[in-house]
Amino acid sequence: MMDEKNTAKAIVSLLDESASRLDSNITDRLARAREQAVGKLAQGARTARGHNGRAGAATLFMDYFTHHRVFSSAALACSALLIAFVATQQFNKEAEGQGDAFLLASELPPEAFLDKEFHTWLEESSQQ
Amino acid sequence: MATAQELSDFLTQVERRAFKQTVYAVRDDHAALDIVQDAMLKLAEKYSSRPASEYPMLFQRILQNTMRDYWRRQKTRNLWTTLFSSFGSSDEDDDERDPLEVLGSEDTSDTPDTQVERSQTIAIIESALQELPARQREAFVLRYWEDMDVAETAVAMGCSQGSVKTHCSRAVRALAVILEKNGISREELGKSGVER
Repeated sequence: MMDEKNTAKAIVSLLDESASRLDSNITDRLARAREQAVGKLAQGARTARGHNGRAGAATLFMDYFTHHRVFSSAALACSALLIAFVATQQFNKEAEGQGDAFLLASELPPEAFLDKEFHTWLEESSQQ
Repeated sequence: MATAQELSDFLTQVERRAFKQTVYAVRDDHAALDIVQDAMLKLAEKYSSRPASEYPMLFQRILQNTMRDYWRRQKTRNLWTTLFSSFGSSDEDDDERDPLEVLGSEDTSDTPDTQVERSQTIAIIESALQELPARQREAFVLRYWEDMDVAETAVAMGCSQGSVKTHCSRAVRALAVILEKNGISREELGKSGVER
């Protein structure tokens, strides 16, 4: 005599057979529902990627450089040169700014440096 | 997080069984298709971050809940049109109508002979499944058709493991009795059923 489990297995086997013989209208509709659900999942994943755009871009960047070592070395050298150039420009601007600051902070008024008589007096004074 | 391919593979694997088990519950192909579609979309929308290994349990819970929502709507709709709606008394309690209690009054004049074809056997089984109380059918389907263990079935049904065992035992016994009443012995059933 079959026990409960064997009876259940026999019944389930017949149910499987029934499920495998579904009408094509039903299987088509199920397939469409499945595609719709998968589309929702993909849409959700795209939205999540949008929210984590920075992290995603950083990951892509790192992955790319990990796989292209020669290119990454050249890119790093170019980046270093660019940074050096920008830093030099910045330094020069600051130096000019400091010159102006010196004139403005001086005890002499700025107009004195434009006065020809002042320059004459300054030369005579220095010769003495 | 599961990929779209994993979700597609999972749904391909379960969609037919999900449809059939929903038909047994709601007895309406169109409603069953809507319910399965809703369950698929809910799984994709709300549980996309979960690993694919959790999908069987999650999908079954969603499917059962969607079926219950359908029953509630039907119950409300039928309240004023009929006194005895199809699922009017089928709440989730254990004291549901047991088909064994009414088997004696069933018509046995259409008992098939011992050479009944498999399709007829399947039709009888499906009809018997529809007659089972909702919780017994649910337990049987999850435990044996979805091949969940007792603990998983209990979690999916939101009840104790003891209740699952009781529901399964009653369901199998009721089905076996119905089949025998229709002239299908357990031995014949064993021959027609292929071991999984």
